[in-house]
Amino acid sequence: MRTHVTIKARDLDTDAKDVATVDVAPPFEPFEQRAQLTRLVEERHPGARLRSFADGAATFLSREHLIVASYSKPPSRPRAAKAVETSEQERLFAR
Amino acid sequence: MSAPERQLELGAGPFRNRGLFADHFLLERLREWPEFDQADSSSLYARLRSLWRDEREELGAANEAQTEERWVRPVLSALGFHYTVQAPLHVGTRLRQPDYGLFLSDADRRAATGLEGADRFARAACVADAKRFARPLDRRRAEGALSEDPVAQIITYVSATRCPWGILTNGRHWRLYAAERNLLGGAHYEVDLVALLEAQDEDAFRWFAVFFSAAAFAPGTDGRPLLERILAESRAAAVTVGAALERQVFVAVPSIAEGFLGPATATPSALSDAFDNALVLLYRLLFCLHAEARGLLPVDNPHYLEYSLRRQKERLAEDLDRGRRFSGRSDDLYNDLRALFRIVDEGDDDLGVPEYDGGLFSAARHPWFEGRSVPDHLLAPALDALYRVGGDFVDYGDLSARHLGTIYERLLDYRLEDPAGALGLASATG
Repeated sequence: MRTHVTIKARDLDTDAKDVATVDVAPPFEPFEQRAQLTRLVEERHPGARLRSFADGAATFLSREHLIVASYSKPPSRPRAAKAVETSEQERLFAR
Repeated sequence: MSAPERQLELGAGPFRNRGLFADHFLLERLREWPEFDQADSSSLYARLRSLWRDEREELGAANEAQTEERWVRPVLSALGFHYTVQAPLHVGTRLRQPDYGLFLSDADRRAATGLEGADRFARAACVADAKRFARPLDRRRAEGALSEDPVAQIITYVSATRCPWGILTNGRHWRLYAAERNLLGGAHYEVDLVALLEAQDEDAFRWFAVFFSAAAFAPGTDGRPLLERILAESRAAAVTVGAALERQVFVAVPSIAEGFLGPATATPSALSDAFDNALVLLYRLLFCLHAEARGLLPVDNPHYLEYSLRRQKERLAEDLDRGRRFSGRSDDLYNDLRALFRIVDEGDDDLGVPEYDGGLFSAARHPWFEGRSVPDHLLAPALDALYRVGGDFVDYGDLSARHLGTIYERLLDYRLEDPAGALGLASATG
């Protein structure tokens, strides 16, 4: 599954806004999402530091910009796969 | 536990005080009052625990009438009230029916029977309104009737009945409103009664028992009810903090102006510009502090919190208390403020912040700030002087907007001077 990350930057002096979107394959784990958003922002805004992360969105602050990066659709893990595997295992090993 | 630590607990603590009383008074002083410290609420606690155990399964799906019959009325009786139900009351051309007039004695209740309108509530200690169990009290329909806006409803009832107090409840949450304390602004004190009963914490239960028992509304030995005395002490505490804050603001502003001025020659024009814009910065800070304390800025949003003054003042207090020295070459603190002001200026959906309707934070209206900053070693103590008085965080929710405006207006009577290389304020009128 692929989705978009929107990166909005606001100039701290003038409030001028800049918006960019990036096509990505989103990871499921929140800590991986945070790392991915951090990487994408650092590429465009060197020196920006992560200030907050929650619900698939992260904010950053540099000396020039306030930046918010967020997934257009927060990725979620597919469900029920584990239950199927478990019952399959039970059948295989049942006597 | 220190006062700041306790204050931080407030959000998740046994009560939620939205501008009715002074938080500092509740947390620091009320505990020393015998009426609170020695309050025996064990029998009330046992009675309500038992009632809750019997009714909790049914209450989740109860409508308003069922909530009142099964829960609200038994609780009011256990609190010691005598009540009349849905007495008619004319408000303008409309007929209103507050759910309850609460009386301290059955004789008072009987004496009120047969009277009409506000006269029926003349002997009442309180007017009360109840909603279905756990109905959100702040949720309303924009075009809906008064009954669909519980807060507007209780404000109307308190005003129309001329009762000094109002109670609004959905069975779970119990709110206290006062006629003489920012009623129209919705100031209230609230406890989650069910959470207190479920927690089985009898000590925390006192934050319900002491404030909502009929005894709290009854005249004490000096003729004043306990709630009235708590209200009066809260006002006094706010005035004391306000006076100390004003003195500290007068010290903080020259430091901020000095930072803005930097190495520039202190000409009268440069001093005037630095002072004027230090006042703009001050007013922005006061606005944000007040808005955060009143819940107008979303300190419960994890993204906003990281940029909030609440977070900055906590970190700054911790740093200063452990003796951190701030650099004259760094302006990280000022950079944080720039980010906050940008967020407030035009709002930020991602951070849950609505747009501020005014030019105070506008970059276009205040171009003087562009490229300027205040170094940390000057800004840190100046900010802390706004954030704390006597080591405790100032509760800006307790200070009225008018009081803050007065502090600001007094500063306008001064100008910045640099008589011997040390900036200070001097009266502008000579």
